[in-house]
Parts: sequence; C-alpha cells; structure tokens
Amino acid sequence: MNHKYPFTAISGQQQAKIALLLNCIHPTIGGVLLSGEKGTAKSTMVRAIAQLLPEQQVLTLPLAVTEDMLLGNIDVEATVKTGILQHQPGLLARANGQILYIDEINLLSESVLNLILDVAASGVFHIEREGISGTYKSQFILLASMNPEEGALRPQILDRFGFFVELKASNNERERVEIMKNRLLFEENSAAFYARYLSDEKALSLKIDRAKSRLKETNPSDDVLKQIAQICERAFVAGHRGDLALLRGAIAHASFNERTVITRADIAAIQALALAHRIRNTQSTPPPESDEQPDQEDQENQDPKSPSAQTDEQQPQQEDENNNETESEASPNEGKQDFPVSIGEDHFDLSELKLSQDILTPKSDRKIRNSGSGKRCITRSGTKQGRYVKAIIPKAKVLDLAFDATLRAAAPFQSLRKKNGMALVIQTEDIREKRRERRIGNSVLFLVDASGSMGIQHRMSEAKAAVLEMLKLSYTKRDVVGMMTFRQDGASLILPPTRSISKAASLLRDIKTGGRTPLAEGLRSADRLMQGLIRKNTEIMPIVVVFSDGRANFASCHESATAETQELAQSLSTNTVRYIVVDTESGFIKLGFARKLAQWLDARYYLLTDIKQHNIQSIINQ
Amino acid sequence: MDKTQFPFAAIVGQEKMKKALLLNLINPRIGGLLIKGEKGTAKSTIVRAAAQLLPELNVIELPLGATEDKVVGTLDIEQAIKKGEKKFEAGILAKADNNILYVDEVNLLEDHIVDILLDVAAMGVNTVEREGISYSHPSRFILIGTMNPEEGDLRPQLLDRFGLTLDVIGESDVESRIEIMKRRLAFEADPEQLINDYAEEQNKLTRIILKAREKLADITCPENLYELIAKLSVNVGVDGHRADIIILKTAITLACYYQKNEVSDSDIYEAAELVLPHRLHRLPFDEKELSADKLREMIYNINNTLALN
Repeated sequence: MNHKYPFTAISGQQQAKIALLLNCIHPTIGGVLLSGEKGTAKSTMVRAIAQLLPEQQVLTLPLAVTEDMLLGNIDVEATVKTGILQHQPGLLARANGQILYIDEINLLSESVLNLILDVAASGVFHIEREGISGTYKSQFILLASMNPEEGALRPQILDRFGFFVELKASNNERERVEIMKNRLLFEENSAAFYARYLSDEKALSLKIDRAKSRLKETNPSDDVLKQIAQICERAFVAGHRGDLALLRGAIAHASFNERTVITRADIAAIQALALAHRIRNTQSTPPPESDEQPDQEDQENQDPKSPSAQTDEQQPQQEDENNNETESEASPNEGKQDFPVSIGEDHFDLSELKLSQDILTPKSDRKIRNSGSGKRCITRSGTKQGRYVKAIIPKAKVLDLAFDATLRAAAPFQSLRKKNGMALVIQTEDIREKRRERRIGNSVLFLVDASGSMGIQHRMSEAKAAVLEMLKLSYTKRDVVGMMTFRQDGASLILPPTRSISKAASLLRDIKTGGRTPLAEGLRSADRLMQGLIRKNTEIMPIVVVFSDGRANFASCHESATAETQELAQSLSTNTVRYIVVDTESGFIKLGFARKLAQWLDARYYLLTDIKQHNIQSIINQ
Repeated sequence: MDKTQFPFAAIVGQEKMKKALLLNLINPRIGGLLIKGEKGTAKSTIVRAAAQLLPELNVIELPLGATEDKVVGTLDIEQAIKKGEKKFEAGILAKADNNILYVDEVNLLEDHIVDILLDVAAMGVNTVEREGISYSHPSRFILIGTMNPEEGDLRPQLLDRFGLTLDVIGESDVESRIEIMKRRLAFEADPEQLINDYAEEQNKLTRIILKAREKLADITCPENLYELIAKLSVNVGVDGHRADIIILKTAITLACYYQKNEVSDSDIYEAAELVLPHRLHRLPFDEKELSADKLREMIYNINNTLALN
C-alpha cells in the first residue's frame, strides 16, 4: 500500500489545515487556494487530506490540459468500431463527487481556468461540440495551490475561491527540526510512519463524517447573518461571495466542533480565510481613520457579550482537545495536532487581513493588475512552440496538425467512407489545427542620455537602478531588458536585451559619460534594434524608455539638432514600438524639451522623481 | 548503452562536481544537481560519465527545442491510423523515470516546458489529459541541469527543485590542463584502451557508491545536528522547509560516502554549501559566495552571542 504523508502528522499550518477540512465537510464553501513560497507542504497537504476521505479521489489537473479533455469529446476508438457516435467523458465529468486539484494554478491557461471556475460554481457544465450535446453534473471540491513568485492571479479569479490561505515556513527551530525528522522517517518507511498516526487519522476522518451529517441541522440565526454582513462591509469586501463563504465556513466550523449553534468564535475563526483575498484594494478605499472608527464601536458592542461568549466557546473546545489527547495517548505519537484550532483573543480584528493582502498583492504588482493586463503576457502562439490549448478549424495552410481533433472529426463518418484497407479515412474537412498559447514579456530598452549635461551621475544611477529593478521582476513577467546610451557622436549598446541580472550587473558597472548629445542618433539606433527584435519574434512587445532632458546639441545630417530630433521622432513607427520619456532636466530654468519629445513620439511622459516614487515596473506596464 | 563514453575515473579535477554527482547516485532523494558555469567545463561529459558507474541508470536528455507532446507523451499516430486505436506514446518524462533527466542550458528552456517540469517534479507523476488520452505514469528522476548564468536566470520555483547547486570553472592549474589534454587525446586515439586502463578505478567508484548505499539504512544523525540545520536555515533566510530536508539528506549521504557511522557537523556544513546558495534571496550586486567556512563562522558567532547574553 502506497501511503501518503498523514494529514495529522503535518506540523503547523493551522489555517491551511482548517480551510481544507471545512471545504471537505462543506464543498459549497467554494474551494481553497493555498498560496505560499516553495517548500511549505502545499501539495503534501492536499494529498494528505484525500486520505481522510476514503470515498473521494483526488484528480490532478495537469497544466498541459486541453479544453476537449476537460469537457469530454468523441471516443474515436469506440466510434470507429461501432459506427455510432460514442462520447468519452472529460475530466470535469469524472471529477463529479471528487476532489479536483490544480497545482501551480497561476501558470494555467486563463481560458481553461475560467472554464473550471464556472463549473465549480455552478456544479454543471454544457457541451455543444462535435455532434455531442448535453448537460453534465460536475460537483467537486476545488483545491488549488500556487507560488506567488511565479506571478499573481487577478482579483476576479481570487474571488472565485471560497477560502484563501497564505502559507509560510516556520521560523521556529524546534518546529523545523520536527518537520525534518518526520519527513525522513516517512521516506524511510511510509507504512510504519502512517501506522503511527493511524488512530489520529481515523478519529479525524470520523469527525469529518459526523460534521457532514450535522451540517443540515446547523442553521445560522439572524444575529449571525447580521454579524457577517457587518464584518464584510467593514472589511470593504467586494461582492457577496465573501459573505457566503464566511457564512458557509462558519456553519462548517460549528459542525466540525460538534455544535449546531454558530457562534462568534466560528465567524472569527473563518474570517481571515474567507475575506483576506477579497478585500478591495486599500488604495481606492477610505483612509485608516475610518477604519478604526467602526473597530472601536464594535468592540464596545462586543464587550459585554464577548467574555462570556468566549468562555462558552472555549470550554467545549478544551474538552475536545483533552479528548484528542486521551485518544492519541494510545498512539506513540507525541507531535499530535490540536484540533480544533484555538481562537485568538480579539475576535474581529481585521488588521490581520490587510497584512495578508499586502503580501498577496505586492505593491509593485497592483497597478498592473488593476489595469487588467494580467493576460498581457499570454499571446496566441504562431509557432509550434507553446501550450496546446484547443483545436480549431484551420483558416490557411495547416502547419500544426491537431491529430486528436482531426481523428475525432473523422470518426463519426467512418462507416460511410471507403476504407481501402485503412482503419480510418481522413478527408480535408476533418483537418483541425492546434491553437497554442505562450507567455511573452516585454522587451524593454532603456535609452539613456550619457552626454556631459547637468546631473549626469544622478541620471545614470537612476537608469541603472531601473534596469536592475526591471530584471529582478522579470522572472514572472518574462521581460528582457537592455540599455543603450548616446553621447559624443553616437549611440552604443551597453547591455544587449537580457534576462540575466548577473550579466546586467557586470555590464552596467562602468559606463562612459560626457560629450555632446546626439539624441536623434540615439533614437534611430534604438528603433533599429527594436525593429530587429520584432523581425526575430513578431509576438514581442517592445518598449523604449528614454532618459533624457530632450535637449539635443549634435546633429549628424541636419542643420539643427532639435529639428532633426523632431523629424526623426515623428517618423518613427510608434505602432510597433511604445515609447516612454523620463525627463531628467534639472536646475532652475526648465526648457521642457523632453515634454516636446514625448509629444513627437506619442509617448507617455514622466519626471525622474516619478520613477523614484512609483516603481519602474508599474510605470512601464501602465 | 554506449560503451565508448569517457570514463568518470579518467576525468581530471572538478572534484566538487564529481562528488555532488556521486552523492546523487548514492541517494537519488537528494533531488538532483544544477551545475552553473561557462561552456567547456566538461559539464555534460561528467554527467554522462557518472551514469556509467551504475549500469541500470540512463541519462535521458531533454533538448531545448522539445515540443510539449514529446515531453509529456502523446497519441500514437501510427496505431490510430492503422488500427483506429488510441494508444499512448510515452514521452521523455516516461523514459526519465528512475533515470537521470538531463537538461543542458536549463535556463533557456521554454516557459511552458518548465511549467510541465515543475508539475511533474512536484508530484513524481506525469498526468496526461490531452489529445484524447487520459493517462498517468510515475516519473521520478534525478534532475540534472546546466546553465551559464550570463544567459539568463532560472525561475525561482524551478531553481528550488534542484537539490544541490554548484559553480564550476575551468581548471586553472597548468599541470591539470596538460593532463586533461593528454587523456582526451588518448581517448580519441583509442577509446577502448583508455576505458581498459581505468576499468579498475571505475569499479572501485561503483563499489564506493554501493557501499555508501548500504550504509544509508543504518547511519545515525545526532539530535543537535538537526538543530544546527534549523539554525542555519533560519539565519540565512530560506523559503520553506525543503532546504532543511535536503541539507539533512545530503549530510547523511556525505557521511555514508565517507564511510562514517555517524553524521558530524562538518557534513552538515559541507552539505549546506551545496544546498543553500540558490535558495537565498539575493541582491543583484551581492557576491554569491557562501562557503561551508562562512556558514561555520556564522553559527560560531551566533552561538557566542547567545552564550554572552
């Protein structure tokens, strides 16, 4: 028997464990998204919880899933053999009544993800394709995990998950030792390790079952509904999904703790899980003062009731823990878990929620996500590279045959076609082509004025910092970043577009400065480089960021440097390359040449101080 | 198997890389190796040679241009046309099961292939839901990658999937360089002769691996060393718990390799040097030196401060 790591042996991660348990008890909560850094037992936990639910299987959704495999399609083999259209159920149909697990959900194709989330919410899906039509039931427990380093999910998508948990590694040395020891023991002999936790596992499994059957009797009072509505309103939660998740979570939490009455403590235990990912961006919501006001009010309201409520609450729980202890004393295991989770003193302290939101949406990312460019880096691939998402009817010459879809299209007609000894006859109208998607980032070139004008040192160091900042974030954005300078009588490519921080760091160390300002030549060279990149890969999105005061004083083939710059800037194709002008003009008298340059280039215009205040990534992605 | 591989025992220098590979052969659970360095440091020769030491082990290469279907497996087109049957044609990930999966220039691998690799490395199972096929098969492999950091960095998530990392540079010692050339020429002139010359040493290495494997079952690790690992990880600031577990496994394997009966703190430091550097949040201008000695010094200082307070 192949044992997974026992759920009751997982150290720490209380929030995640309770979130998973409650969703298994009450799947309409709407699923759990576990977000955490590498090595925080995300997938271990998911596999472990399944062991507690003997009747349910975990179906893993591979990232390379195609749409037809999700929805179901024609069973080619059966159709050809019988001559009658046979349907092959897809993953969603098979997931009915089971657990659907998506690892690395932030790397999944957005169209596939939307489809799954729709089905998860409605519990049914419809197919109308390839001669099959019908409505199928698909109710499953949706569990997903992600590492935010690999890219964020849009708020709309986050909102679709009932619960959200952020996982962190423990910084407690003793706990880390425990984790190491257990892991090693488990790998040495998984059966023996599992046996140690068998009684705990059984007890928890039974507890889940009992909680499930208690759900129907657990009805919220009007007071509970009111409390939930107030919390959601105070937390500036967008939409109503949060209210429902909180309510269902509280019901499940009460059932799990063997009660049919929902208490404040239930709500308090669930609120972070249900709301952390739904709180509206604090940038657009009222200042902190209005935040504190209701907090105090509520505490006043709460005070008379709260102590008694708390003691009422913790009494049965303590008993419960004791029960657990007596149960586990029989087993040799000492690192047992304390279920149910203990409840904090301050029931409705919402400050923890905000903290979590901050980590979830790094400040640098907010603007990007608000502008809805989460999809920015997904493009339909014109080459054979990329992830195969679906099959389409080809419009031109077929380069990338979708053999599976072609077969399916041909299958129903086999009994009518002349076979000539072949098992299958394929005709032109059956041919399908693969549609692929791939992520592509920006190609950003910093064009920096390195001439001997005022503030050159400052300008240079700001530009260098911007390049490195971009590169630090380029893992998730797939951006390549380069730097070109112009000075004296020409432009030079200091850093060819790259994704490497180490390369950038060494190449940017010593850059020559001083001399005249051949701005036009700089622009011309930058454009030439970008056009070359476009020729190599038509899918890239090139951006040139010009760091300059816009004051040209050297013309290569024109009487006036300014006139030459204007003529050139206006002639550049701003359809294929986007420009951003960062004005580096300093000193008392401002001539405003850079602003003019921005107009000529149809570019967005910033001051050098803007770059310092907001980060460069968000400016570029606006 | 290709008999005319340059023998592992005949490789001059690169002792650290050799040892790191041997550790992975002794204990595949360490989780692979990422070799960073310039071209021409014999990275790929050494990896291929290492696999020769264990006859059951193959090196399966994942080429950069590999398409998704070749990696995860696909519908067997011939079967489909000739017999109208659906059959799964295994991909690279199936072949890599219980073998070495070798990715040269892993940092240049297409993003969507990296996604697949992450998925499979995490689960140890390749699940296929495409082209009319639902299929899953075990895919546990020793992931060995090489990269030249000048050509771009690796995604942190993938980086974390490599148990150990190592920076290699070409041998700078003149004597060694001469010896490298001599052996290379000898191999090209008469490969079998060279292989014969080193046969005994090759066998000796194989025996070392097998003996160390035997030891793995009954080696002990003193309690205070677990605490040392936790202290190291907490103080250098790593993500998650994977680093701790891999340091522990690597240290245990090292002790077995040295044929000791008990793990000692020097094994921990030596392991940490291989496990920690790529798991730290580094800053662009940071030098990435993180040697066993530096770690030892750090712990020494921490302990001293604790003692003083």
